Amino acid sequence: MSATPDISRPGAPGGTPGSARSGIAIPEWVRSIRPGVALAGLVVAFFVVAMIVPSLLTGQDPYAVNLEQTLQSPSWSHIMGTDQSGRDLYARIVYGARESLLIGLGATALGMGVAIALGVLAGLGNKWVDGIISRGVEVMFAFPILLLALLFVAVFGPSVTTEIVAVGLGTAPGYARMVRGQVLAVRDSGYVEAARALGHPYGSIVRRHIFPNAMRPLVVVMTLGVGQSIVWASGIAFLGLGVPPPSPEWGALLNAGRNYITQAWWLEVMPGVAIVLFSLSLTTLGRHLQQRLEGGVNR
Amino acid sequence: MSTAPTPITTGGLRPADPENDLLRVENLQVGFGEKRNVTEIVHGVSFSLAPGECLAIVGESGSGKSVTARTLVGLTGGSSHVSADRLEFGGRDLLSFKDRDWRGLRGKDIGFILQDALVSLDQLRPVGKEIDEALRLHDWGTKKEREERVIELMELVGIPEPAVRAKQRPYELSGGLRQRALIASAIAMDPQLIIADEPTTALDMTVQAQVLEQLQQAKARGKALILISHDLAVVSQLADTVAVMFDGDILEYAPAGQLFSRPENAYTQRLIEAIPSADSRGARLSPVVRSHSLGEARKYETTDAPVLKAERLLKKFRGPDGVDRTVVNDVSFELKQGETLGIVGESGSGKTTTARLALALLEVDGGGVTLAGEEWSGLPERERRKRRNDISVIYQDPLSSFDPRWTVEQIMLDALGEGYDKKAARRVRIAELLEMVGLEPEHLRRRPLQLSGGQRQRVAIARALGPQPRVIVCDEPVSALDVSIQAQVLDLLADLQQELNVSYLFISHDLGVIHHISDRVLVMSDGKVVEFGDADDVLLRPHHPYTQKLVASLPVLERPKPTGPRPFGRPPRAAGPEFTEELAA
Repeated sequence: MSATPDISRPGAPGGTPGSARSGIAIPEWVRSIRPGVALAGLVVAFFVVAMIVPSLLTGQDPYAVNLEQTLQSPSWSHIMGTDQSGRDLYARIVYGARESLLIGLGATALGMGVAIALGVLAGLGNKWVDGIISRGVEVMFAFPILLLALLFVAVFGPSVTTEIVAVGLGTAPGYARMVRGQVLAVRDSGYVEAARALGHPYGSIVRRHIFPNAMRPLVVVMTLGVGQSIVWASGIAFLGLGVPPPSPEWGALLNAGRNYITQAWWLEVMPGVAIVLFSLSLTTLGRHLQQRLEGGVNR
Repeated sequence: MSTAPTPITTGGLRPADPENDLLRVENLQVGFGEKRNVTEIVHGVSFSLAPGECLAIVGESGSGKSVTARTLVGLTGGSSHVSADRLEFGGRDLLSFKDRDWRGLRGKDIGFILQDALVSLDQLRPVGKEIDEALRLHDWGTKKEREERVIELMELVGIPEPAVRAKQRPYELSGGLRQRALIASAIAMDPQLIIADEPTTALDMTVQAQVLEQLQQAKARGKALILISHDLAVVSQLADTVAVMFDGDILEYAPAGQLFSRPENAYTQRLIEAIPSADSRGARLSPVVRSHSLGEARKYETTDAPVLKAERLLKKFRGPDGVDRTVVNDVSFELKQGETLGIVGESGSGKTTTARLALALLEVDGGGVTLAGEEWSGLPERERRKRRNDISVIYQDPLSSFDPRWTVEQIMLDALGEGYDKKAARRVRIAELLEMVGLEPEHLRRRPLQLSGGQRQRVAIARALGPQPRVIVCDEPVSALDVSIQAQVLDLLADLQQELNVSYLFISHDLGVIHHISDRVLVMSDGKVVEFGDADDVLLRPHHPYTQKLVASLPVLERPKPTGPRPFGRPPRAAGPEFTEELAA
């Protein structure tokens, strides 16, 4: 606590920021974005472009073998160096974005889909339904994702689809618990009772109140989940259970570079940086979104 | 309350007495914020206090009363700016105090009692330890002496079996015992000044009376007391002087007797008039005048048969220990069209459960409810749904009863009964509902979060009126509102009953509110009906000992009888003037 002699009444001039200096009007919502968030947005945008039209970002062919230029360190002609077959690593990372992001999005979508079905059933079902689903989810929790992946690869062979299913099912139990908790909270809320008192049928209450309100916080969790899924998938690929070569999927790149780690550090570091950068950026955006959404509700 | 307050009135106060006064505050200003962006909350208030005196600071939420109190113990927080011409306690200048000085002062010279004992006490620590800490912090006595002092203190504040209670944790104690434990720790060091910030707000009526008694005794022992409250009736029990605060200013500062009998400031007068009680029955509480009437179009006929009838209701809940607890036990009542039945009782008496049984949102375990003469509680939900238009509900906390994603317009659309298939018809009906509750069309686009507490409750009332119900169950609809807003909402409910002849099942813990609005009253305790009858019979001439205790514990504000009839309101029950536009104007 400090004592200051002059205290202005509310509404007294405190200096209005901005407006006077620049000629160009910057919208308030743009100005309120922090630099870190803007950077994260740029990174995510870069990888999304790489996913859709990779040729825009590189002129090199990611699959072109050049045995005269194997294991070149980063230079002006190959900014991230080349691999053991002389392929440009930057081009491979750019082209690998499609499969990696697909795995991230697909696994999150699958995991969420399963989780929403289970969570809503458990949250709205009677004691028995809830008990069976909740215990089942706990059993799934105890099952390591990597073991699950091993099982799927053994049965279906390594592919993008296998990886999506393995990571998707592996992450589902965590989401399912979250969904169940949300559904329970909304189910017992005042506005659901108010809707019952107005005589709305149960199905319509679920559709109009319970479902959307329970899902709202999950939007943010989903953005965090995409980054997490990519990290999981990379881990699986690193063990050699991922997408088979010559795919430039990021996890596969890590796995391929493993044998040359003492001679060519960039084969491990560059894909690793891509994974970390993308996940970090997506997480930053997710948190920003979360603050926006929750701030909007509390204000 | 939007009307500009009139300037401060301080008639009849004794002049400041520098020799004797314990606390002297002159032109105190408190602001919050960073460097150049300070918002002033308290705009220069002055008061003084001598030993054995009680000063009450009253005001509605946002008036700055709590900030003023916290300033006196240095608890305003890091971003605050305090300045004053004089801020002295016992001859010491509080403005020069550093954190260390404050720590030495708090608890030792000034005891501070917070509003909510459940939050203020450490859940994991026995209350005896809590009280002991107040002593230990100021190095009082040896361990053994402190133990004795704790028991002595607990006895002093009227905690039975202090030796047992001292070992119990807050969640094992009732609300009243918790609040008394908090008082015990505040007075442990025998401070010269006790500041109590809304000490009884969260408490039941009978417990409130006990706590006020404790404060009264402290005052009798020569302690100075500052009582912060929104409740004028509570304040009138203790205060020697009263300061009425509004928006950071003291509007009226006068001896209690004078302030309550001859309030000079218009705002004080309105505050006093806004308190519902036995005397205010049939009169308006707020100065807001109703501008329109609905005419006879939607009025329900008064009939002899009850519109809502409950017979021998029984409801049990299974506790976590697997033992059934009877929450509602053999409750019966009848509600006629156009009548208000008040249900009053303390927390845990089963009044809200009774309301939910009447709404058939809970299934009965015994007995039954009929609605408009037909079976209601016994029907399957599928059948009840068709008739839910006949009965609706208003909750204590309107905000949590609205879907947070929805605008007021969506809420209203959702509440329309049958027969509004066309868009134009819906729009007309919503406009009509809004006008009935005194809201503007511009409110439709807003979300409940962007509305004030009073406006939210109006939306809730409009929603309840949407299906054109015969009965509205009001579950503590004004408990969360400021006195002046409460007055407006009670007036609105009375007006609507007048115009629509709708029935209310009105639930409240506040005897004044219940007496003001009810035709008949049902008193509940421990799930049972202890007394039932005409409001005046039950509340003015109670027969059952429990009702007598309840009525006796109600702080009554002695105030002037209204001179002449007030504009208009609910007429006396037997025969009153017909509602007309002229009367409203």
